[in-house]
Amino acid sequence: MKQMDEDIQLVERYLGGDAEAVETLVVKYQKRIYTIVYRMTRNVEDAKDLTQKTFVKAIEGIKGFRKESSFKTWIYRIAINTGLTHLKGNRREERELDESMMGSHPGTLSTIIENEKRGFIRRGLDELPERQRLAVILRAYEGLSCTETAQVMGCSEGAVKAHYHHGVKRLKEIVKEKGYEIRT
Amino acid sequence: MRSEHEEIMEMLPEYLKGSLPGELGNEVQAHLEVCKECKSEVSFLREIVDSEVPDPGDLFWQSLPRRVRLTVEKKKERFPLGFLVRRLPVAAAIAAALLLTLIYIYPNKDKVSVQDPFFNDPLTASVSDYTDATEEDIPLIAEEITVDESYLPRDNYMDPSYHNEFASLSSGEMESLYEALKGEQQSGG
Repeated sequence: MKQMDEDIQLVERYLGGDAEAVETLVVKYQKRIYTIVYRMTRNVEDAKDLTQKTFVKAIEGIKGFRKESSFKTWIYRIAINTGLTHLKGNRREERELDESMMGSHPGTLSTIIENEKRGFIRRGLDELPERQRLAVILRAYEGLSCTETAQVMGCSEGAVKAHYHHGVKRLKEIVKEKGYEIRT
Repeated sequence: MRSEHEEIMEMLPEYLKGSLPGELGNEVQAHLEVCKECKSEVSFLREIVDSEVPDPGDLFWQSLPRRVRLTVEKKKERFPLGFLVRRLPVAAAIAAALLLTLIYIYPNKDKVSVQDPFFNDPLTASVSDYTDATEEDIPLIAEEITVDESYLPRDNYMDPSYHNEFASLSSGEMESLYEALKGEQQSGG
């Protein structure tokens, strides 16, 4: 609640003419927004560009922020929409190798196996239907609650639960199909 | 009725992120000690979350806040009209209407003020300019009209011009023509 109040104060400061309040908001959320759009695009340059676009869109449309939900869910929603628009416009090319498997850090055999498994999970995530993928990114990676995820995705909590459940189930199946064990 | 197990299962992503309030966090922790299914779910979620996100570097993080602010400010400067329309829609609509009215009126005003030498009928000019002319003045007036370039007939006009015809009229004919024209003008013809 404290965090929400701080954000609303920053928004009001900006609307009152204090342009520097924008910088404070960007510093606060830049890493989280970058992480979300990176997980959607899996490309560093695209993620950097989309992070900036997300903030610019948010600041330009800040009057549309009605303060009913938190600034966090509002800006996450803008990030998700910006990422989806980008993905629709640029069909991603299949990547032969995942960044973690490029061999720059060979490490031990167990590390290589772990990296390989992560690579399959990432690719599995890419292959999930859009809504399932978003639900997994927002819930598992970002730790948003069902309510927050529903606000970001613009759907019901029930739909979020279903998308998340099916998404995680599918990822588990992928790991098993490839012959990896899930640590307990 | 939902079981405690289902409720806790739903809270696992927040538990992993550390965003659960203290009491709930302890409750989940205690449940994980006894529930194999939830423990396995947490392990799998850890594996998903463990996947790294490449760091774009300090330069990106340090410059982004300023870049965002400057981009927004530049856009505002570049499209001030857009911001005006968004902020004061009624005032912008009135300004646009005034501008359109001016654009419509201004060229028409110019058209009326710039006179074509052939726009005015020479007969009208003669009536207004030479009302008090005497019979002796007629040849001089005829000469003046002929040499006045502004009243020169266009190339496609047939010679001789009607100015010369006036010059050849007698004083009586001129008198009756003058009266006829005067009557025509008064009746608005």
